[in-house]
Amino acid sequence: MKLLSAEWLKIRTVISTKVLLIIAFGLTLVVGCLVAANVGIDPLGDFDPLVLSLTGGSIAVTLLGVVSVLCMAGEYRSQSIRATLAAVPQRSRLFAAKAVLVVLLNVGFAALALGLTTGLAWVILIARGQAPEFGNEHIATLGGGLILFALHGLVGLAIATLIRNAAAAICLLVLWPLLFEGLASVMLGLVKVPELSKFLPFSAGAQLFLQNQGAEDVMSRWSGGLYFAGFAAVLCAAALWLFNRRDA
Amino acid sequence: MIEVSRLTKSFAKRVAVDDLSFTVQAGRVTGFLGPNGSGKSTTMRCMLDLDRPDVGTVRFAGQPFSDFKRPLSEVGAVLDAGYAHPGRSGRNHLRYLAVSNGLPASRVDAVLDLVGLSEVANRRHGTYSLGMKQRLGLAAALLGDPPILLFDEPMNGLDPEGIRWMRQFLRFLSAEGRTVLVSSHLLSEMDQTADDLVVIGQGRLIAADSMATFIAANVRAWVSVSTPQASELAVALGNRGGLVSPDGGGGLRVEGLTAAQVGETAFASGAVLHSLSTQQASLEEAFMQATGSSVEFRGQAFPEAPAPSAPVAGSTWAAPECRS
Repeated sequence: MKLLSAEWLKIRTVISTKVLLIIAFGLTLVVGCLVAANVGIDPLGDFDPLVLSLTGGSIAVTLLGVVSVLCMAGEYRSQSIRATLAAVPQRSRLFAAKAVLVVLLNVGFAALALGLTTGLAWVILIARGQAPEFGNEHIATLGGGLILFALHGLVGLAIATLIRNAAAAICLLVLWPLLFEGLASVMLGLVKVPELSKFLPFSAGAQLFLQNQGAEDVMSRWSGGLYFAGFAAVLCAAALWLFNRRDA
Repeated sequence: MIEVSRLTKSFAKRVAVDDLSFTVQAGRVTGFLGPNGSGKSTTMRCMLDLDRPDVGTVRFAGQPFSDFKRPLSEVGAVLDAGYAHPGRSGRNHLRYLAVSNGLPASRVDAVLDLVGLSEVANRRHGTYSLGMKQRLGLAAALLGDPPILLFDEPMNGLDPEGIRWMRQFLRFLSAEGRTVLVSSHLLSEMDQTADDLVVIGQGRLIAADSMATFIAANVRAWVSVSTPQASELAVALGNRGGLVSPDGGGGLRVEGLTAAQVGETAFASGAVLHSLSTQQASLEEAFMQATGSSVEFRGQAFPEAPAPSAPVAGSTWAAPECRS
């Protein structure tokens, strides 16, 4: 608990992380309100407008991933990791505290931002004469969103611990799902095995936060989540192993 | 008490610390000396488990550092003034360290006050001068009021008043019975501060002894004498068994004889003496003698220049204006 408090104090006493959290929160809300205010009265096929209003969360999950990266790589960049380890020499305990904080921060943020966005979108849609339904699909998307935020944060923390360079870790975390997995999907299609693209980790994890489940070429929400959780666990294990052996 | 035993650390194929063993006693200031690149900082990082040693153990009061549940209350360390996030205030830097070790918030204010940073504690670390960062590092080391303290070049960046304050503070800490290990390249400061010395070169132990024993073992005291009949006196002193050489200032440097013997010889040979004094060997000379073959990086040699002369009476000299 002491370590968790210390890590939380570190996060909230640096301007860059606070700015990122505010931007992520604002983006989620603004995008949600814009979607709710502009989505067609006749919903887009099977898409629920209330679920569609959570689109901004996909950007926020990346920004929260950056915050998670900074939680570790920021210490290496400033070399304050040495002051930290001189105060907490048990590295596994320190890594565990950072991991718990990252999960709590991501889940707490997602619950607040996605919950508030849902409420605002609900009000806007009612004001526009629609009667949005808060059904199972919405609950599953919200729950999946919380898990995706937590796992994405853990992946960010693990990548930062493995690479130890803030800029490189942020680039990798942002470009992997956006660029590398996109290119990999195209390549897999070219070599006639497009079905393998569903095993790309970030694509699988993204299913947690998507609606319109049931397509054949992607994993289901919870299978994708489990797969992405395994990916995050492997990365965290590798990061912890190296963290315990490397010079600070 | 600190016990370092057979500590070895390599980076790639370069051995930075080589089978190093020494002990640091409580209640004394121990200077940790060595030329640039000799492995002092690596040793200190290994002592705190920041760098993982290949072989060897370090024990603080009988315990490895990683066993301490509240290390800030056992061992305080100032390894580098820059080990803090530039965007975080000095106070918040100390707060998270205190929280991580379950120390009361009152300790933060106490150590800030002690090192004289209370007024700037809410400024970001990145805006601090090197001296202020050094003081913040010292505050962090003292946060848990530990009985063992490690300092890596604590005088760096301090102004003369700060250096004097640090010197007195180190003496005060050891007088309280704490174990104090200080690495420094400022030999004149160590000369005035340290009781014991651990001297290393190229990662290996050269000497671990008291200051007086180290100096006596490496440099002999000598007698400085100036006289208009230098050549005649040099011959007479040589006949009496002295080792005579020019001292670089127009006088003679005599080894192997006491000042009294030199005076008697001068009287017997009819030489007029303008000055006669015993010169104590300095730590710098002893250090140069002991580490001469271990210097890794050496600049181009220059002939020894005479010391700057004192201002002549009646001449004017204006002090440069200093602005902080």
